[in-house]
Amino acid sequence: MSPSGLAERVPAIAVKGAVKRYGHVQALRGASLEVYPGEIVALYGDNGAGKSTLMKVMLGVVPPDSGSISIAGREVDMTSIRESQDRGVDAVHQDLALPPDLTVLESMFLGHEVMRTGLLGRLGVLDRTAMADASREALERLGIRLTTVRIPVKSLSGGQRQAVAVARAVMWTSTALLMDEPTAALGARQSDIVCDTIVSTAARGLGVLVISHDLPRTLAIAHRVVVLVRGAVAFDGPAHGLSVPEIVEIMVGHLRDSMGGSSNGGS
Amino acid sequence: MWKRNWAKVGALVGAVGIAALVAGAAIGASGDHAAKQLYIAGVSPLTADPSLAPTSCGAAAEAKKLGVRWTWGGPSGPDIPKELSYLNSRLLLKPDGVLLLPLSPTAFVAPVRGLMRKGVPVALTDGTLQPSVQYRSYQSDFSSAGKMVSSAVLRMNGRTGTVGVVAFGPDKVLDRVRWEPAAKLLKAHDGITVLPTEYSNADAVKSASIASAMMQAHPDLKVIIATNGPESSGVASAVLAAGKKGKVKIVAFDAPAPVIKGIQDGTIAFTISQSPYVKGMQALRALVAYIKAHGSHARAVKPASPQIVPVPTKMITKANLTTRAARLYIDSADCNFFN
Amino acid sequence: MAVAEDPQALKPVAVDGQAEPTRLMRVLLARTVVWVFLVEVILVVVFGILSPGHVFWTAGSFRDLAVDGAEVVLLAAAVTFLLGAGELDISLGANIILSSVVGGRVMGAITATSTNILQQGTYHHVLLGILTGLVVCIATGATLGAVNGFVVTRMHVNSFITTLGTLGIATGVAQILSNGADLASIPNALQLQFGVRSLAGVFPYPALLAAVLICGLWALVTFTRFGLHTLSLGSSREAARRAGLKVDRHLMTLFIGVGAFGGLIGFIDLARFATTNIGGHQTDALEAIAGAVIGGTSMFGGRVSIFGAVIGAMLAVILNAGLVIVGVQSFYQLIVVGVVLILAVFIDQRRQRIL
Repeated sequence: MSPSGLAERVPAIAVKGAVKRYGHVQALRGASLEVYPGEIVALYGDNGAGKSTLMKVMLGVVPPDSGSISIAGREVDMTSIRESQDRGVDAVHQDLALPPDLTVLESMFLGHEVMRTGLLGRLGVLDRTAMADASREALERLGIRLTTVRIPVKSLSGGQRQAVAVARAVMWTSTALLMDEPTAALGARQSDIVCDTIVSTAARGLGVLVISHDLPRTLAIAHRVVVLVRGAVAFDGPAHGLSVPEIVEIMVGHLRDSMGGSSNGGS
Repeated sequence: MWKRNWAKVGALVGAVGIAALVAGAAIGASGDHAAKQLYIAGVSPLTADPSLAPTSCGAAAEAKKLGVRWTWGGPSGPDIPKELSYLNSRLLLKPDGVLLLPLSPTAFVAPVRGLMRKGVPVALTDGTLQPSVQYRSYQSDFSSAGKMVSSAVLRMNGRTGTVGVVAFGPDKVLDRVRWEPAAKLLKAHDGITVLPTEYSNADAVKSASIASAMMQAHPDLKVIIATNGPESSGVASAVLAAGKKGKVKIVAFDAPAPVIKGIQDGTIAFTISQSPYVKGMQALRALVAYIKAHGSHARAVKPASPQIVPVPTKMITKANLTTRAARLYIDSADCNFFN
Repeated sequence: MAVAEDPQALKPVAVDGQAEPTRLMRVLLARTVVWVFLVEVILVVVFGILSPGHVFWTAGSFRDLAVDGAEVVLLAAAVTFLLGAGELDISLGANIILSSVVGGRVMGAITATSTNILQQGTYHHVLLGILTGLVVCIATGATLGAVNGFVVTRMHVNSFITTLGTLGIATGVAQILSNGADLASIPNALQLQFGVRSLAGVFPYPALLAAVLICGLWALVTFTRFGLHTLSLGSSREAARRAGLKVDRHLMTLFIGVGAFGGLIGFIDLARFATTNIGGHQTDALEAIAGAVIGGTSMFGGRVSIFGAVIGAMLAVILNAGLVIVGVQSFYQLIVVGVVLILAVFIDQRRQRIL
């Protein structure tokens, strides 16, 4: 499963030396990670290893104490999530981050709304029809058929909501896609669909980072594996040839070696 | 040489002696003067409020006439602790009498009681104390205004018709005394119906909606009594909106600027107003009379009997609005009554 | 790429037995509003029957209700926006008063020809004075709103506590500026040509102004991106942030906007009464919020109903007027409004669980 187009040396998104401390807790200890265009990177780690924090730092949701982030080769001063979004980076968050009262089409287009043309557009009037059509198409491309996209997100099942979150992120990314537990609420069939989506997104030329506890599935599609242990990168190498037990060993191995220090960084 | 020195010393001593005599005489004279001039201290909240400020004007005029020293001050807002601390600061100057508008009927009892015991009479020109430990209390006599109002209402629209009342709140004694006597007298006439009193809490918006509802329900409504300025503004707005200016007459109480304007415009028929000026004047006069009769800081002051002195109210109409007599009954931020 | 072949797993959960509730229905929030509207219809019928000569059903009575409710209904509609974003403003009553005091003084300064009330004064520069007063009223309200917005977004104090504080501050400033006395220097033209005037004797101008603005607010929340962003802030503040919305700037705009509406209502006070109303508006903010919630706006943010707020706020107005017309004292309306509010919030919460 080797990617085509790995010839570019410039990472779609990269973080170097990220350090983050929450009070007494050291969440990240100088973690570095690169995701190249067309590449799927699986990020593994035990609970509290710092995976979610690292992703949030890369997105601009959380400012690191030190470290630099670059998108498409250029270093970015991350003041807000807008910085990464403007450069084509989007994410599926662990808690989905979909406003429950907004409709499916509104949730999918929030922050990227389509306006009507002419004077109405200048007044800020939304073109809901266009957004509804586009939402339906995007969901169908993922193999999801809803009878209507004009219902509130909170009336969807957990799996449907996850699908919407994935569809939304896929719609707006053009550089890199970061996903935190994208299959957590999904059954087997839907998880397969999401994995297919990840593969096709990478095939489009984007870099994809996937954080997941579902080792078998994600290992099967990943090009590269990164393992985070207590806020630092413990392993960074090709997925080819790695097995699940080996990865687990890396994830927990350092714990057994530690002299009483506990890895209680936030993940 | 000795003679020259002695002469110099003698001249010096003489100069010092004369200076001492002159200074001593001056001090002695002023000391005498200070001992003779009485000092009355005025303490009030809301000192810039045009409905209270004239108290000081009346007291000041009377003080000038009697050759008495007068000061007036206090917080500009309804601030009880500030008023108390102002009173205490005045007491350091040992006033012979105190004129007071207590914001709280309880917080000022202790200081007033103390003053009365020390032989310093205290007169109230507004507010009450519970218990009544003051020497005298000057209150506007609204109860006899009832007769004024009812006869004026009868004169304005004959012996038949409906009368409405908009008041502040049912538990306010000082508010009831404005409309109840008039309502009672009017009800005694067979042809007159007095509607049940409605309460608006001095909110012009609520007063307007009450008045417009009254006019809807009773086409023969001819008079609406509003017990204070904001209520009358609301009622006036409703009367104008219904196109019934002149057909529905408004009776108001107090004389703040909007009421005076309403009388000038003809939307308000008349108002029953009180005179803080007269209250201040009478209160100061009574304090000085007491001190002159019993001495300053002498034995403990007993509350007078009767303790409450009713100060007359006045009906202000378009006809007498500009007269000198009426001026003292109109709210004013300063003492320029007669320009 | 595999295509899902299991439509069952992906059909939306049925809502109220219908497979496709429309956006319109969601925005109108059928249940509570319809229920309150029915109560109001019943009240109109009952008061009409009980009132002498059935006067409650006349055009004049409708006119009175419209002007009685104009201010509180406009405030309820504006407050709905803030509630939609998950914020409160209980300083609005003091905002109205302070705006009318500042705007009124400016108006008086421009138009009065004499400071002595006893001198029969005419007014000059009337139009200039009125327009300037309008601008100053709105600007004062907007400034107070900006203070609220600043404290909420930069100092991170929650909006209830913040506006509780600015309520006191605005009241104090109004007291200092007015010395507790209402003004008399407002030109009569403002009152006679606008404040107490009605179109065709039935539609009071203040109510027409309120109606136009309320329609504008409805369009804003229903059709525009600004409205959508407002609702998303209330639905999930964090989700809105993750979507890249400029949360602080949007909140600031909301507080300033609602404050500006408070200023406008202060101007309406000046127009209706030709003076300030510094003793009033004690419960305006709470009545507006209650009206909005009764009308179906969620206290937790994310769902609003502008016309519901109008209907909710009119409940107290209809009750008040009706009770006076049939000769009953108007205290009971406070109790009824309180009961209705609790019931409305209860139904609102039950509906959250069903969905």
